[in-house]
Amino acid sequence: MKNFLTSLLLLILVCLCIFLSLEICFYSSEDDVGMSFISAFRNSRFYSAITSHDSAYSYPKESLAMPRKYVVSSSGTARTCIYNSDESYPRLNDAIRPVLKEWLSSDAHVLSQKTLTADEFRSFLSEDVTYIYVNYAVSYTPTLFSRIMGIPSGTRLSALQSVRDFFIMPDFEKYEKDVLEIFALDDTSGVVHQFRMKTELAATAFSAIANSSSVSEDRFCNFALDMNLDKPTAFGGNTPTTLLAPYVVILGSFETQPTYPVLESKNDFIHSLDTFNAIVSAFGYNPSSIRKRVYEDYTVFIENDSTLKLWNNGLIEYSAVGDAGLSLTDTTDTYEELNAAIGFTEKIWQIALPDRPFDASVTSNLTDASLRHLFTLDYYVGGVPVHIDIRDDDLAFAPIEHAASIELENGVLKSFRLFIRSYHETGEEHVMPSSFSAIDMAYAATAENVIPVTIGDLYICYAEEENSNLSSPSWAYTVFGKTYIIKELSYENNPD
Amino acid sequence: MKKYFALVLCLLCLFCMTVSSFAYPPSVVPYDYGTSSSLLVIKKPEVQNSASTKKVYPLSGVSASSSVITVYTYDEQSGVYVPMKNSEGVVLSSTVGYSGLFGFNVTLNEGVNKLMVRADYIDGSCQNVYITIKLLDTVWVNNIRSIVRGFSLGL
Repeated sequence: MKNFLTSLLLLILVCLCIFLSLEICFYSSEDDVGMSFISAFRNSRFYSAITSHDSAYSYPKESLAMPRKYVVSSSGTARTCIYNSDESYPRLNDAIRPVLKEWLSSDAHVLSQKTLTADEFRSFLSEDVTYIYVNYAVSYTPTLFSRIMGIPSGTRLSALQSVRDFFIMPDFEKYEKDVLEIFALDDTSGVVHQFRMKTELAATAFSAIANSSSVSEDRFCNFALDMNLDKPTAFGGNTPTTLLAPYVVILGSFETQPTYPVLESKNDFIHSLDTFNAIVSAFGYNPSSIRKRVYEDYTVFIENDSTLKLWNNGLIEYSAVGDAGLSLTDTTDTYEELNAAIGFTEKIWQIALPDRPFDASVTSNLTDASLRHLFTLDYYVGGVPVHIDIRDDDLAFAPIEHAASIELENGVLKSFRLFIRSYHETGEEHVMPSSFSAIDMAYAATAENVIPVTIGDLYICYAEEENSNLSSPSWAYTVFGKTYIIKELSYENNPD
Repeated sequence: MKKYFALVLCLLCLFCMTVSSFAYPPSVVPYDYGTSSSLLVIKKPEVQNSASTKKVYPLSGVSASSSVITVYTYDEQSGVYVPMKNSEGVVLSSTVGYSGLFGFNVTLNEGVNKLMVRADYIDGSCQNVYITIKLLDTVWVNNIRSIVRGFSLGL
C-alpha cells in the first residue's frame, strides 16, 4: 500500500511537471513581457536568420485590418460601443470581418448600388434601426483597404476616394433575411455609397450584433447625431461656431466619469556595444568602418550622405540626404512600402528590446498618393493610444510626436525615428471628466476661432510629456485632422 | 459676542439661500413653466410629443453656462413631477459647462413617458420644458414591418 501511494504521488508530480513545462513553453505568462518561450524564440534573430521569417506576430500589421471600434445599435436597446480592447470585440470582429471581405471580393452578389448625400443617410439612422458601425483608426485609399482586407484586386470601392467608416444594416427595403445593406462613407467627399448584398453571412452577422448589445452600461454611447449635437442651435442670440461631427461617439451620459489607470513610462533601451553594432548594421552601415562620435546626450554614426543618432532618451534617429537612403523594398506600391516600413521598425525594436512585443499601430492616414510617404505609428496600452509630445528646450532634436515616423520615397528609407518606450500601470487611477466636460473643454479651446470648427473625434488617450515618467489618461479631440490633448480640466487650452 | 453670532448666523442663512437657489426643487406641479422662457432649448427630442423604440433614450439640449439641468418624471400617484433617477439611484442632474450642451440617457418605461426638463440659473431664474415620449413596443413595430413587407412583396 505504501509503495502504491509513493508511486501515485510520483506519477502526479511527473504529470504536474510536464503540464507546467508545457504551460511555460506554449502559453503567455502573466508578466509584462507577455510572450511565451516559443514566441520569443520565433521572434529571435536566430530564428529569422535560419528561416528568413520576419516576425512571428506583428501588432501593427495585424491592427491595420482591425477596426478601432464597433458601435452596435439594436432595436429596443441602448447603443453600445465596443473597442478593440474589449472582451466582446473578437467575437464581433469574427462575425463582421468575413462580411466585409465577401462584399469587397469580386464574387459578391451585389444586388444594387447607389449614392446618398450625408443628410439623406442621416435620416436612415433613425433610432429604431438596427445597425453596426465599423470605424477604423485611419483612412485608407480604397485599393489599400481592399489589400489589407486580403482582397488584392478588389474594385468594389473604386468610386470612393478614401474609406474609414462603414455601416452594416439588415435589408430595410424588402426585409429579406439573407440580404445586407452596406454603407461606405467616403472620408474625403462625404458621399455615402449604399450597396445591397445577398449573403449567407447575414444571419451570423446579426446574431453577433444581438449578442453584443448586452454589454455593460459603461459602454452605452450615442453618436453626436443621436443627440442632434451635430446641428447648430441658436441660443441667447448666438449660434455656436463649434459643432461635433455626426459620428463622434459620446460615451456614457452627462454624469458618467470613466476611470483609467495612470501609466509609468520607461526607456528600457540599454545601450551596449552589441546592440549598437546590430542597429548600425540594420541601417546598412559597417560597424567596424563607420565614423562614430560620442556626445553627452547621444552617439552619432556618420556616413557621407546619412547619419544615425542613438539618443540616451531612447530616440533612434536616421536621416539621409539627396538620393541616398536605405532601400527597404523594390516596389513603389504603397501596400508593400507600408509593410516594409512596419517590418523595418519592428526589426529595430527587436534589436533594442528583444523580449518585448511592439504594441503599436499605424496612426497616419493612408490616403497619400504621392511617391514620398510618411508613416507614423503610436503605442497602444490596453487599446488606448499613447500620444507623445516631447520637445527639447535646447532644440537638440525635433519634437517627438509619435512612437515611430518612417519616411520612404520609392521604397527607399529617407528618414526614420523610433522613440523607445514601455508602459506599466502604476496602480494609481484617474477619474476622468465626463464626455460632456471634455466637449466643454474642446469648445472652450476652439471658441476663439472665427470660422466654424467641427470636432471630428473625441476619445481618451494617454499623454506622454517631457520631464515626466508618468503618462496620464487624458481626453483628446481632433479638428481638421489634427489632434489636441486636453491636459487639464480648464478652459485655457488653445489649439493654436 | 452676540454680534459675532448674529453675523455668523446671517452668513449661514445667506449661504443656505445661495445653495437652495442652485438646487432643484423636490417636486414641480404640472403647467409650471418657471420664471424664464429663454434659459433652455431641447435639441432631442425635436418635438414636444414623440415616440421611440429605444428604452434608453438620448435626451439633449442647450442652456446657459452654469445652469443646473434636472430631468423630472411625472408621478401619477402624487400628480407632480419628481426628479428622475438612473439605475444607481442618482438624480439625473448636472451643471452645464462652457459649451452649454447637456445630455442624459433616460430610461423609458413602457407606454407614455411624461418628462420635464428644468434649468435653474445662478440668478434664481428657472425654466421648465415638458416633453412626452411614447416607448413603442418593438414587437408591435416589427409586426408593422411585416405588413409593409407583405405589401412590398405583393407589389
